[in-house]
Amino acid sequence: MALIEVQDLKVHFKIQNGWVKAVDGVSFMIDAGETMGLVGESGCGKTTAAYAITQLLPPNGFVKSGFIFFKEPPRTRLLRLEYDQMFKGNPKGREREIATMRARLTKLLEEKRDIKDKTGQVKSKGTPEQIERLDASSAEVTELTERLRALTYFYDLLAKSKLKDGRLDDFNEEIRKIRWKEISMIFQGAMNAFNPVFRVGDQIIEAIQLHEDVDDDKATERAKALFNFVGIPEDRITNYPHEFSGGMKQRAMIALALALSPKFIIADEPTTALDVITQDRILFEIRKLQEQLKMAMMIITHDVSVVAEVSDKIAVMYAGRIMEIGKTVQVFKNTAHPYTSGLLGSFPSIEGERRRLISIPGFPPDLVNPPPGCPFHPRCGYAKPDCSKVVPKGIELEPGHISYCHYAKELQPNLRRLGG
Amino acid sequence: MPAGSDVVIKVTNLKKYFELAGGFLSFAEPVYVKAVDDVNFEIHEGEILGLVGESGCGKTTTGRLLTRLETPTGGSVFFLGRDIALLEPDNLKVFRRNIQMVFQDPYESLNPRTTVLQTIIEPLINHHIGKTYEERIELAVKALDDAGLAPAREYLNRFPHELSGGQRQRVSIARALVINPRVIVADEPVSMLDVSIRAGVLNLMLDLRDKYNIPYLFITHDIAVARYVSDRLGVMYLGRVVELAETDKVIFEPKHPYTRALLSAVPVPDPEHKHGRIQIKGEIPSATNVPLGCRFRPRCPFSFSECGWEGKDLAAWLLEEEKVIAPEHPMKAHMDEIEPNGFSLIIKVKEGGSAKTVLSFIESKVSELEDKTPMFQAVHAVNLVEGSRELVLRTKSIQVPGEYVAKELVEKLTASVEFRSKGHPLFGTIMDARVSGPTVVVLVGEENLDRAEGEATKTETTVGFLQDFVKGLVRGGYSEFKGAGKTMVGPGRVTVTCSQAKLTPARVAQEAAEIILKEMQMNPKSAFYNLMLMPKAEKSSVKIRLCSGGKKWEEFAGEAKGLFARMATEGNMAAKAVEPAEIKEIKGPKESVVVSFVQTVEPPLIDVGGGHMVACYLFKAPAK
Ligand SMILES: Nc1ncnc2c1ncn2[C@@H]1O[C@H](COP(=O)(O)OP(=O)(O)OP(=O)(O)O)[C@@H](O)[C@H]1O
Ligand SMILES: Nc1ncnc2c1ncn2[C@@H]1O[C@H](COP(=O)(O)OP(=O)(O)OP(=O)(O)O)[C@@H](O)[C@H]1O
Ligand code: SF4
Ligand code: SF4
Ligand SMILES: [Mg+2]
Ligand SMILES: [Mg+2]
Repeated sequence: MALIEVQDLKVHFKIQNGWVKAVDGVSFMIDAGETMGLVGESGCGKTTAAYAITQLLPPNGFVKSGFIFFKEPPRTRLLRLEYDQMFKGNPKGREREIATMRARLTKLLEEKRDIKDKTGQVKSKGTPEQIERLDASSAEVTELTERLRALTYFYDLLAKSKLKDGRLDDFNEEIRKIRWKEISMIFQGAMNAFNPVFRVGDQIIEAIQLHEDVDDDKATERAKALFNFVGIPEDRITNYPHEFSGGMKQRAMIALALALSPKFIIADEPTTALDVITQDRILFEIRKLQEQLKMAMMIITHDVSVVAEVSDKIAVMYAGRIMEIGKTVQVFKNTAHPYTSGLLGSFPSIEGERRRLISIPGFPPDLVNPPPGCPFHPRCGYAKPDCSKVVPKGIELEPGHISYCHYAKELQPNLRRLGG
Repeated sequence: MPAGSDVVIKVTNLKKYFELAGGFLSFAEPVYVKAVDDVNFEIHEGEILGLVGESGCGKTTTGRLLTRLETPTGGSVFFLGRDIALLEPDNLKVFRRNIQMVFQDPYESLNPRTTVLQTIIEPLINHHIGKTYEERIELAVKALDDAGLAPAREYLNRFPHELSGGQRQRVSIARALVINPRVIVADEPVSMLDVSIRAGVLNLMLDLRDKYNIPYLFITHDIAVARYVSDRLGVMYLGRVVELAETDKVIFEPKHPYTRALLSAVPVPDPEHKHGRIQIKGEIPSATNVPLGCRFRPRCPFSFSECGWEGKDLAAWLLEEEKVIAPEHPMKAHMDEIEPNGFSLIIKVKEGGSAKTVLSFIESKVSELEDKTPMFQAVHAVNLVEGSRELVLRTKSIQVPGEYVAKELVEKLTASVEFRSKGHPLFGTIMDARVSGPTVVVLVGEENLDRAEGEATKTETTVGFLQDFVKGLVRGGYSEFKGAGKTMVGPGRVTVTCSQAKLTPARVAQEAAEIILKEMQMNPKSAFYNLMLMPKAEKSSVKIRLCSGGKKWEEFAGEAKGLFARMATEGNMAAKAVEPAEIKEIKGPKESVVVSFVQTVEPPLIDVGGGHMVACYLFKAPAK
């Protein structure tokens, strides 16, 4: 079941001479207990996508379109997709449908209020037919509510806080309740995110007490348990940040992100600044998280080997768009996009024979004026004339494995892939 | 790619210690960061030598020492057989031109206000290469072409901000190449680059090596990158090279436990790959506090009794595993402070506690655990020390004749520079050194008549070398060499005349402490082997504490007297200025228990077969 579903997300930054199209139509889905790796080169929009989800965009960031559905029940999702199909290009129709349903719902609820009192007790004067009708109508209320939620994108996080111009309201109450408690994030370069003048443990305890009503002893107990979980001796809880090594700070950061037992964690380059041995330990902690806590994760990195180590699925991003998405094995072994293939081909490995790396010619585009059509076309060895005109639609090669290349099917057998 | 056999760079016993500022505790002894600590390697013609290791292990410092951006604390870097520390201005210029660096950050290493052309032409002007401006532009264009910036003329007038990261790094490479260097030191040249750009720059460096046969020292923390580019690979840990061999030997047949752990942690871009992990304990210790014996031992999963255990290890065991300070522990009432002292641990005994009880507790633990725990197997002795006594040897100053200084100088010279062994860069230059009265005569090899332009003659090299060597000794506190600077050049020889000098009491104390260490504490044949705490040389005395009680102290006084008398008759002037030992009462706890470990030196980097160099006691050199 999808815990979080991002659909056609566009986030653009306003700058002096135009707009940076940092995220430009990104869709993906992550199930509970699943880890997705979001890989791509510097500046392709990974962090921006994460900030849209946690709603921490900088003031010049505008959400131009898209939805972020969180904890949407499966049936609501199906209904939503049906309605979207039904009212495609017909927003008036959709509004009419919503109005009709709202009217009907209001009527049913009024009837109900006649029969039941405020506490939900059936009023003594209710007749047997009335009570029978009540049962039927309450089933209809449930159904209508679900349909209305599907029609009005009730589970969309952006709908809750998006202002008219596309900016997100930082102070939205609902979002603030969700952020940290349900969705938390380990920031890029987070090692330096602890306040140097307070003890690390106290900062974690404070985070717990800010959101939950627990006394000092209980909060301390929990902070200690978190330290243990991420592999820092619990007596180090009284240390100051500078007394920790880089790897320990990063682990403490994971502990902080876990403090409120969120359902979804975004880790932005959690190991990039670390040495391999420390990185290996952190990745080990992350796998432990996946196994023991069954939470969903999104790991952002530019390093495909890190993704290979910890992710169930992987989304390859380039110039604000997703190029290919699928199970890690699918993307690595049945590569179906020239960019993915190029990325894999330019990574050296310590395994296997030493083969000449293949570099991708050119360099990533400027996102103020991204290339039209397929954004990869100026660097793609397989580009044909229409590649620079038409934005590729997703082509599903296997269930869950989608490539955004016009020629995914034809190219797939020939693309260089892992071990090929 | 078989590496050529011509050595371009040779590094011997290279050391760089940074002194940390004392802060307000200026009385405290200086603390040193041992950034590079006895590193040895060679780079051959046309070879890429990779250097990998975790952050702070000393890779950058090694690169900076090679390019003379940093002066070594000890050891030497030889460029084409010449010690770069001893180059005179002319040769220094030649050297500067021949060694070029490419840095990690292409954003910082290029001046934002100069165009690509200016950047590349600058070194040509500095080194007077190319006669006309046009000729220089030609050279610049060629270098840019070589660096893969084509068409080069389009880039000439651009500023750094008009280039992508990969292009900037290519400009840095072009700048390094344009003056035809003999060797390039590249410090993390691709770490800041985007993945899709990185491969291009790596391929460029490989292609340039193939084309011009230029050797590289390639520094990186990324082992997969190092594997891709290097012919041979060195692995550094805490300032030292612990393994060095052909790249695929290091990658597929790693020997040193650290290399094995490091490799097992490298992620592999294959979701179906499973690796066997070798877990190592803890974190890298600080470079100010390098473990004795093998520096990897505290984290090594394979450590055994011979790896060099020290007082700190036992202290950690007592506190963390045995938990002797827990209220219910029987030792709680007896043990006071514990104080590591090199290879020994001093356990002070509490007022009212019993030293005997502590002693038998430790002894019982040793016999219980020596079969199971390598640390206990390495215990050499457990002794009682009378804490309230110490042995004092007073020292006075003494005049030493020029002959003596000359003899010492030759000794120092032969001990630190193995110019008699083939393969040493000064081999063939310095043939021999001997004493003739107060003069050191250094025989110089025959001059090579058809020498290349700009190269120093062997005599010049030797003169420069000797002057710097003496200066180095004086700087290191050997004040008696102050009057030994006068060098003269004769046919086939260089002479150094030494004048008479005074050994200060402090110098005598220093020498005496060294004699005691060498002849007694570290000499397994001596009755006092491993039986004392580190002798302390002071202004005019040496203080020693023995790890034993009673008669031993008197015996020591006698033995030391005999030792110094013998050394004096053998001509050691310092020994003449040492007075017999006296036993002094001092303040301190009455008794301590001292546990001494077998003293072990660091495992040297040795060839364990086929040029595979490893610094670990698990591996021995193959029998000849
Ligand atoms: N506040 C901002 N204003 C304008 N442009 C921005 C802003 N923040 C990011 N950008 C631009 O948006 C694009 C995407 O940035 P983002 O930080 O999401 O990239 P990323 O994929 O996380 O890169 P990295 O791997 O380097 O962290 C980049 O081109 C960046 O320069
Ligand atoms: N100028 C200096 N003064 C004091 N300490 C220094 C100085 N330069 C380096 N060090 C210390 O020397 C050690 C080695 O540093 P060095 O920069 O050579 O490591 P490195 O292997 O290049 O690390 P990295 O991978 O992080 O670049 C470190 O402990 C560092 O803090
Ligand atoms: S759509 Fe065209 S340009 Fe884009 S990746 Fe596919 S072949 Fe290349
Ligand atoms: S010598 Fe070898 S086995 Fe012993 S501690 Fe060092 S690395 Fe480990
Ligand atoms: Mg980012
Ligand atoms: Mg460095």
